[in-house]
Order: sequence, then structure tokens, then C-alpha cells
Amino acid sequence: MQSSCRVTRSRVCCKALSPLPYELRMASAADPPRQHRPRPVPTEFSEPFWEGTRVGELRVQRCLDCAHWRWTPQLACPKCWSERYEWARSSGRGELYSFTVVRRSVDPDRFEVPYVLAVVRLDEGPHMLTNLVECELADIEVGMRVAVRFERIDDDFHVYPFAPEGG
Amino acid sequence: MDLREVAVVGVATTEQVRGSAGRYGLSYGLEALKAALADAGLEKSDIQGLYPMIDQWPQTGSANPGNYLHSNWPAQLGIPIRWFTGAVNSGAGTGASAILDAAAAIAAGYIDTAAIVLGMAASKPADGRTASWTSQAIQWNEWTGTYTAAQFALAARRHMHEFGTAPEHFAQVSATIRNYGHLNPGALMHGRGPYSVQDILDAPMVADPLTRLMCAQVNDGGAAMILSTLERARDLRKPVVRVLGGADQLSYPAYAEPPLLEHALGEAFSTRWVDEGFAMAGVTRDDVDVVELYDGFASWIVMQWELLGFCARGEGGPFVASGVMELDGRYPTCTDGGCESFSHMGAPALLRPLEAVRQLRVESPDPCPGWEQGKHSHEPGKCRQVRDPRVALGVSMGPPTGGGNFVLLARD
Repeated sequence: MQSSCRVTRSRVCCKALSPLPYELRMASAADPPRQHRPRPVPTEFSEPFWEGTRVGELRVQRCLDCAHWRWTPQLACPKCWSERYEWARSSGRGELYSFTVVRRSVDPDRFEVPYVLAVVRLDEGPHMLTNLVECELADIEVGMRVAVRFERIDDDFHVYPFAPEGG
Repeated sequence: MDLREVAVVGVATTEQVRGSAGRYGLSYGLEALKAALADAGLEKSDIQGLYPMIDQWPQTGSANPGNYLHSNWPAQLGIPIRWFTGAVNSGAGTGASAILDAAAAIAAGYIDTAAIVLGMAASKPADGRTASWTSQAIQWNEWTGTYTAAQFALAARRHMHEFGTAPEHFAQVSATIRNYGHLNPGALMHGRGPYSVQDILDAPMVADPLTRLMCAQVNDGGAAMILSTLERARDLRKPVVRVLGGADQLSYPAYAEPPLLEHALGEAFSTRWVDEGFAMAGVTRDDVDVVELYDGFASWIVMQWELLGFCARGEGGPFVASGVMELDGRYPTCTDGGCESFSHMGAPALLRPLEAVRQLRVESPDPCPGWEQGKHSHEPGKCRQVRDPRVALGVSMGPPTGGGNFVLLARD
């Protein structure tokens, strides 16, 4: 079971913490069956990133010429236009740049409200759009320290929500 | 080459509707285009340039199935097209940039007359989902449950964090704009007001801090605008509205990238592109009498005042709270009710500059008994026509933190 849906937490909190209709949640008797959250559709270009999530690494492009970290992925470095890059392993840690508690779901079949959409600024510099999990809604603050949690969608895909660091 | 001056000679909107089952965006676009030609007193054979933005193109089996952009247009309109630019779209702003592009082609002499056509009919989603255009199948964000309102909420939250902007500021924006729409018989939300700031704050939360009444509605409809040379415009039937100039700046891919104030307000913050647009138009911000911003979300209006250089960075909240957007304020804004009340077809397309034209022509329907003769009381809360406007600003700015375009228009 993923750590984001702890039995010690309240039902409401559990909903808030776990925006994802995980397979294991789907299997529980308490929850009616629902669709998976959208499964990412990788390209040849992005496959190294998704491979990283399967082995617990948050990989971000880093320029081999000027060492600039970039997200979202691009063919060439926006700083120096070099096309030489590596998929470097990020610390997976950073701070909460912004967040919103979503009360009107983009798709009620796939996303149960409330869920927390967030932007995280990684310590390496880039910003990522993600979800915030494992946190009381009232405790969320811009600037708080967060760390990545990999969540399994299926054998091929893990996604990368963040949670309070050390939580 | 000698540059020619350019004018708006025809405008039209169809009825704006919710959930137009069975009708195509093309159908709305054609209806609007016919009406705009009639407004101008021109024939379809006068159209040489075409700037279309259409969804729901019918699958008629003709050329380019599924492609609403290109070569089927001459077959549908029954005229050759000499200058075509589909989905003029810098920073998702498809209105002002199309006007600037058409004006450039006319000024240079490639064509004499151009039509901008908008027709949208895909607003109504199934099963309680948000409208189709509000979320995209991008592998980096689809799994998060993001959609347009949530992205703007992220930008709004960061603006609050950095500058102390408050939900009351956003609510003031929406109350002002929605109260214009309340007076506009053409608005989808006509007669639904008036709204207080508290009414806006008390509406159901969509994605905090944005309540439902801080968000644009989604609906279907059509709109069109015809441009020609100033020389020709002076021979036509409607008051002449000159295209003075403007500017366009693409900043980042909306929704694909996380919305960062830094895209526009951080290290790279600069109003230079706006300053240059005003300079080439030959007017200043002080000359502007009416402003049509893109009010997809109330928080975005707060930021647009900063991005356009009407107030300092971070001062957008207090700026709107001062009442500047009211009819008796310095810059009456979104005077038709904007995207929140008049119409929002899913793109910051043509409707904002189009309302600027109507204001300059003094042809705004409102409760004033003499509006059809151009007689208005100019009394806030009872009238929405700006008194004797000479210069108007029409803005199409799309991504949640920056990028877009604007056009400056003036009564001849």
C-alpha cells in the first residue's frame, strides 16, 4: 500500500491526501470501482524519465556543457542551446512554490476532491507541476520543504507527487 | 513600400449560448462573418485575408478532414483566399494578434480587406468534467488532475504570497465586470446581478483562492471582425475605428509548463514590449479611455495591470481595489461583462478587442433608453457606455502568468 493513505488519518484527510484512484484503493470494498488516473503517454524522448520513476529516481535533464538543470524537457539547453544533456538524478527535494486545493474536479471519475495541485521548486532549480500528499490541508504553506514520493499507477508507470520532507 | 493606415470596418457577435447541441463551431463562425460583412456594408468577395479560429469542423468528406485550418476554407466560403493565417496564437491570445497581423498585411499592401472569424461549439463536456479545452493530454501534468482554473489558482496563490494580494482584490474585479454584464442584454449572464464583493467571495470554491464567480464561464458562440484600409473605411457605413498599433509577446507554453510568476514577473519582468507597442501606436497609457482585458480569471486581471505597466509589479491588488475599473473610474474595464458574464468561448480570442470597437463606436446596448441613438447616462450601475471614448485597449493574454498581445484602437 502506498504511504499516502495511512489508516491513522481521518477519512476526510485520507481523501485529501490521496487524490489518486490507486489500484489498491480500487480493490478495497469501501470504494466503488473507478477509472485509473490518466496513464502518462511517454515518447521515445521521455522514456528515461519514466524509467527513473520505476527505480525510485527523479530524473531531470542537465546540460553537459553548462550544467543547467531544465524542466520541462527540451531538445536543447535554453541557456546555451547545447543539445548534449544527461538525465541527471535530482535530490527529489525542494520547496513548495505554490499550491491550490482543488474543490471542483477536472474529472470526477478520475480525481476525487479535494486534491492538492502544487508547484515544487527542486533544490537543483527547476520547477515541477505535481500533487501534494500526506499533509493536512490546513498545514500547507508556500515555502514548506517537500520531497518526492513515487506512486505506482501500474507496472509501467509511477507518478511523482510530493509530501512534506521528513514526513 | 508605403504603409497604409488600417481600420476596423465591421464587427458582429452571434447569440452566446450554453451547450449548443448539434451545432458546429463553423456554423457560428459563418453566422458571425455574414453579420460582420453586413455591419461593414461589404460582400464576401471583398474578403482577401482570413484569420479563422473554429472548433467542431464538420466532417464533410472534403479535403483535409479534421483540419480546420487550411484549404477547405475557399471551398466553404466560395471565394479564393489570398492571405491565410490560422490560429494566430501567441501565448494563447488569438484576438489582438490576429488584428495586428491582418493590419500589417493590409498596411503593407498584400491585401485590402481581412476577416477574423471565431466559432466555438465544444464547451459542453460530458459527465461533469470540465470543458475539453481546460485540460490537455500532456504526460507531465495530466496525472496531477490539473486544468485551467487550477493553473490560474496556482499563479494567484503565488501572487498572494509574494505581494500580499488578497481574495477581496480578485472579488472586486469580478463584481465590477459582472455588474457590467448584468446591464448588457447581449451577455449570457444578463440580469443576474448586481453582485457585491461578498457575493463573489461566497460562491462555491473551484480551486482556492478562486471561487466560481472569479472564473469565466464556458459557452459557445461566434464572433467576427472585418478590417480594411482607413481610406476605404471612410466610405463605409459605420463610425471608423483606426488600428493604431500594439504588440505581441510569447512567453511560455501555457499548461505544459508550471505557472511561474518568474515567466513574466520575476527576473525577466519587463514592460518593454508593451512600452514599444504604445510607442509605435503613438499614444500613451494616459490616452486610454477604455480597457478590455482578458478576464478568464479575476486574479489574472490583477496581474495584467502589472504586466501592461499600468501599475507597479505587485501593486495590482490595490490598483483594482481603488475602483479604477468602474465606469466612473480611470479605466473602465471589460465593459460588456467580459469573459465572466458576456461570453467566453475558451480562448482569449476576439471578444475583448471587439468590445473595444463597440465602445469607440458608442453602440453599447444597456438600460439607457436612448442607447440606440448613442445617448447614455454614464451613470455607474445603470449604464456601461464610456463617455466619449477616443482610445481603447484590447488585450488577449492567455497563459496564467504572462504572454499575449494587445491592440490599441482609436475613433477616427
